[in-house]
Amino acid sequence: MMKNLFKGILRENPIFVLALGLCPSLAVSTSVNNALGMSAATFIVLLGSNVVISLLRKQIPEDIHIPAYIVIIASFVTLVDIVMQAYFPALSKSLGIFIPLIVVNCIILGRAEAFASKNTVGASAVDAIAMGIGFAVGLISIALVREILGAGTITIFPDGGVIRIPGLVDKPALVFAFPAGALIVVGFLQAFFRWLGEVTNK
Amino acid sequence: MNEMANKALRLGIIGAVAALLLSVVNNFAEPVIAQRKADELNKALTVLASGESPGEAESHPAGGVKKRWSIDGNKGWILELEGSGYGGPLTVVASYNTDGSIILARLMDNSETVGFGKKAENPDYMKIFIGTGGEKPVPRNKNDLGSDVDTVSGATITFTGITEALRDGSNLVKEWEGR
Repeated sequence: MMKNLFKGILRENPIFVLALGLCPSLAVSTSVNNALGMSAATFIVLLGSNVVISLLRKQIPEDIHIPAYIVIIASFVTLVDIVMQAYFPALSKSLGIFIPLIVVNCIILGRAEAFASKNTVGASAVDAIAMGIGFAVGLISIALVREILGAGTITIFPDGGVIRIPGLVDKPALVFAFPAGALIVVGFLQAFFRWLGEVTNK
Repeated sequence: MNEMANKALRLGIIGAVAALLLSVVNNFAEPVIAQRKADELNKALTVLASGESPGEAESHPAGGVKKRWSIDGNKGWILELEGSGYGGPLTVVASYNTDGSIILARLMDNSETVGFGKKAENPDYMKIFIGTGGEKPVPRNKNDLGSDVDTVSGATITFTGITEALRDGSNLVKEWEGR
């Protein structure tokens, strides 16, 4: 159980090992608070859709499984989007279009197809938690490196929760704020996480 | 045929349950969202009027303008302008002197890209437009910005959307004031 729960961090990290969900990873990882918000939103959608899809797995015929999954996933995403707009407006504003785009995040549909549609509700919930944690670890790592190098700051809360790094804040390496920098960071982190995975497996 | 109907029914039920759930959630959240937007607009209006109080709102006084308020004592106008950015429609509120020059401006609703166009929500972004629109024209493109060009780097379409909305607003104010 515990082994499965932590599989998403190293062994099956969705971003660095399975290479899923790369688009939002590159897009919203410009600051740590965005990464935290996106991780939380993806976690909720992943958990909700995995549980519901697993519950309905025997009721959904093979021929219509993709449209059925998309409806379920889109409902959870819309739910998160509405709740965020109402009660977390700052986060909703800063994540913008990337919240509705969780519908087409490969991690969600990938886990529904590969796991929740074939396993029990309990196991699917554990899988969602593991993948959600893995995605969060990946996204926050990318954002941390990008924000420190690209802006010289670490933003935990946009209002008053910004740590400024002396030396870097005045002369940041702007390339890391742009998508090209994001790809470089993802490449290095992927190598690091794979190395860590090999070392811990020995 | 029966099998087809069975699949359609199952898909229909999933869709109906999803729609019902979302309408219930929306029912609770919609008033909260509307109230928040109204509060944000009022807050922006107070800032834009620079201490004066804005008059009654007038809806759609011209194309591209959602609302306008006159600033107390005929000192100018506040306009809620519609523009078009990278992510679709955007709303800019701006206060103008009677000569069409911009006093202050804020970017409100928008779907601009996080880390790029979204930077225009920062009140400091609008500093490049303050005082323009009267004798000095509203900047048309990045070349008009001189040393301020870094402010808008990486988000040309957002900048163009905002500057076009602000320039239209300035021209309308001049027209209304007979200048």
